[in-house]
Amino acid sequence: MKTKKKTGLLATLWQYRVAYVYIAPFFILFAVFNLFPMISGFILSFFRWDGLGPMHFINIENYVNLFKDVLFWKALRNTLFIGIIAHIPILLGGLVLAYILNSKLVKGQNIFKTIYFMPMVTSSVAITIIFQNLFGYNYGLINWVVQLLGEDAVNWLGGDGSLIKVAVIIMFAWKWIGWNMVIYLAGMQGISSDIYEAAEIDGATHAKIVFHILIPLLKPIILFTLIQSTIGMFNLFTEPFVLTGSNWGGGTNNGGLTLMMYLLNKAPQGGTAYGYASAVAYVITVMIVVISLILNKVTEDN
Amino acid sequence: MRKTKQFLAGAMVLAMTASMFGGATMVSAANEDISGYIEVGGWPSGDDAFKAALDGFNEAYPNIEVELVFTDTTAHHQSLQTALAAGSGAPDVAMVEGAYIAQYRNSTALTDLNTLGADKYKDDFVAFKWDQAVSDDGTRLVAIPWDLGPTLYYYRTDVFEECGLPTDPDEVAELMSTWDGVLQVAEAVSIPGERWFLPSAAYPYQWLFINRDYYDEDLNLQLEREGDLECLDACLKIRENGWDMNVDMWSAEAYAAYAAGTCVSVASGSWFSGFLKTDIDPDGAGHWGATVLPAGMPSTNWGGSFLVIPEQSENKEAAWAFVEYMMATSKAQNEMFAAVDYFPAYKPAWDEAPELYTDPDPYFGGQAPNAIATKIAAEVPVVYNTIMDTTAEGYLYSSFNAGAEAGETPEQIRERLGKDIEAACAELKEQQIQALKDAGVWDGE
Repeated sequence: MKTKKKTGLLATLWQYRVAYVYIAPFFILFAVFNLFPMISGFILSFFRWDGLGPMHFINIENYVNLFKDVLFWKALRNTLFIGIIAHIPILLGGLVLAYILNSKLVKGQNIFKTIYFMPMVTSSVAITIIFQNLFGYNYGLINWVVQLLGEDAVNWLGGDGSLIKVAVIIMFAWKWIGWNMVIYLAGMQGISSDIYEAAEIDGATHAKIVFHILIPLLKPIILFTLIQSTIGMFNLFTEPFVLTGSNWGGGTNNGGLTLMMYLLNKAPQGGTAYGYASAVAYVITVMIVVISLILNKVTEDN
Repeated sequence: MRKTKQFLAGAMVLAMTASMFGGATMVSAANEDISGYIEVGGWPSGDDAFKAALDGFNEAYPNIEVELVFTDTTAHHQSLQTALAAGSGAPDVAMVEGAYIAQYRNSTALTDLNTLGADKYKDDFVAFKWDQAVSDDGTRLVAIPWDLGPTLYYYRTDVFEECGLPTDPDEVAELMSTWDGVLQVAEAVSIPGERWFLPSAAYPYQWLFINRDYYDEDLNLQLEREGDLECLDACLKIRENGWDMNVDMWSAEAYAAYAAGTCVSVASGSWFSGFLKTDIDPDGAGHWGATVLPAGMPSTNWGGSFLVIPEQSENKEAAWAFVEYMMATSKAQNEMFAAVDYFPAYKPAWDEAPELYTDPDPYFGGQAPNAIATKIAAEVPVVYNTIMDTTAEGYLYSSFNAGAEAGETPEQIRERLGKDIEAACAELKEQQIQALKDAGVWDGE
C-alpha cells in the first residue's frame, strides 16, 4: 500500500511537471535569496562572528544581552513613538486625499497622483538634506517663521534631543501619505458606483456613505497599507541617521535612535558583530509578524 | 605555498634587475613581464586620484589593464565585506577607509602584503598609519597606507582681520596657544545670533580624540587625558556665551556659514582644504588661513585611507604592482595629491615636489597649509584603534551636547561620555575581544 501511495505522489508530480517548471523560477530565487538568508541568519544569531573569522557558538547570549541593553529598549520606544504618531496623518491624510481625488471634482487626477507619490521614489538622502535645511537651527526656514512670531529659535536637531523625532515624524508621514493615497484611490475606484447610487437613492447622507460603505469596503486595503507602513517604520534608518549627522547614537540623548539604526550599528555598517545583529533582526521580524497578526485580527472582528 | 615561492623568486629577480638598471626611486624601464587584468574598487574621489596617476602606471606596466569600479563609501565597504566573506567577487585592489581598518587588520581574507615584499617600505611610510595595518599579533600586513589627514585649524582671515586679530598662521597659533587665548578670539569674532566662532562647542573636545584612540590595548576606555577638563571648561564657556552655532560641522547650515563667513573657524584633516576649494567655498580664495590646533593640543590625524589586496584575487602580482606603484612612488602619490588633496602617507613624496608642500597656496592667501600639515604628519604618535571607534566618535558630540544642555560640570560630562560609550559599544567590544582572542593576543578573562 505504502509504496503505491509513493508512486502515486511521484506520478502526480510527474503529471504536473510542466506546471512545476513554470513556478520553479520564483521558488528557486526565493530559496536562494530569501529562505537561505533567513535560515542562516537565524543560525547566526546564536554565534559570535565578525563576518570573516571563525564562528563561536554562544547559545542565547546575543538574545540575553539584547534584552538587557537599555539602548535597545530606547530604540524600540523611539521607533514605536515615531511610527504610531506618524500613522495618524498617514491614515487620515491618505484617505482624505484619495476621497477628494476620487470625487470627480478634481481634474488632472494623474498629475496629483504622481506628485503625491514622488516622496516615495525620491532618494531619502536628498529629502533629508532638504529637511535639514527646513529644521536648521540658525538658518532654518521653520526657525525663521518661529522668530517672525517673536519666539526664540528652536534647536530641532540638537538641544536635548527630544525634538529630532518631530522632524523624523513629519518626514516619515510626508513620505507615506502619498503612497497610501494611491493605494486607497485604486481601492475606491474598484468599488462599483452602483453601491453609491443605491445608497443615495435610499437617502444615505454623505457621511454615512463614507463611514458605512466606503471605509468598510476599503478595510482589506487599509490593512495592507498599515502592514506596509509598519514595516516601513521598523526599517526607518536613513532619515534620522542623516538628520543627526551620521551619528550612530541617533543624536543627543539617543533622541533619534531607531531600531534599524541600532541594528546597523552592530553590523554591517557601524561594526562587525554579525551574530548580535542577526539576533536584533530576528527580534524585529517577530515584532513585525506579531503586529501584522494583531492588525489582521482587529480588522477581522469588525 | 609553492606558487608564492615561485612568485617571490620572480619578484626578487625583478627587483634585482630593476635596481641594476634604474635608480632607487625611479621606475626606469617598462615592466612587460607582469600582465593581466585587475579591478580596483573604492569611492570618490579615489577614482579621480587614480586617473591622475594612471598614465604613469600604464607606461611602467604596459601589459596590466586596470578597471576602476567606484561607488559611495558605505556601499563600497559593505560589498567588500560581503565579497570577502563569500570568497569571491571582491576587486583585486580595494580602498579601505581609516575608520574601517580596525575591522580588517586581523583578517586572513586579505593578502599578507609582506609576502609580496611590502616590508621593505616600512620606514618610508608614516609610522602610525603603517601600524594600523599590521595584525594584532604583529605578523601580517593587510594594507598599505595611502593618505593621512593632519589635523589643521582653519579660520577666516578676513574676519580675523576685521576684528583686529592677527592672520598669520604662526601669530594665530601663538595667540591661541592657551584656552584663555582661544576664548579671547572666540569673543572677539562672535556676534551672538549672527556670527559664530565654531559650528559646535563640542568640537574642541573632539579634537583631543581625533586619532580615534578611545581605547587602550586592554580595551579600557581612556577618556582622561592631559588638559581635557580645561578643554571642556572652555567648550562650556563657548556654548554659554552663544559663540557656537550649535550644529553639526558637516551640516548644510555649517557649510553655508563657512562660505558666508558667519562661521569663522573649524578644524579638520588637511583634506578639508580640497573640500573648501571645490565644494564649500570655491570663491573663497584669500579668505582662509590654516594653522595648528589651539591650546597646545598634540598633533593628530583625521581619517585617510588604505589599499588592500583580497586573498581571493587571481592576479596578485599585477595587483601588487598597482599598489606598489600608486602608494610607494613619489610620482604617483604626488600626482594624486595634486589632483584630490590626499596627503601622502609615503614620506619620500614630501621632498620630491616642494611646490606641493612648501610653496604658498593662493587659495590660502599665500600661506602654505601643507607645510604645517607635513610637520604635523611627522609628529603623529602611533595609536591603537578598535571597531568601537566610529560609534564612540558620535558620542563625543552628542554626550557633550546632552551634558551642556543639562548644565553639567566638565567632570560630569566626561563621566556621562564614558557611560554612554560603554553602553553603546558593549556588544562591539565583546566582538573585538573575540577578534583578539582569535588572533591569540588577548590575555584578559
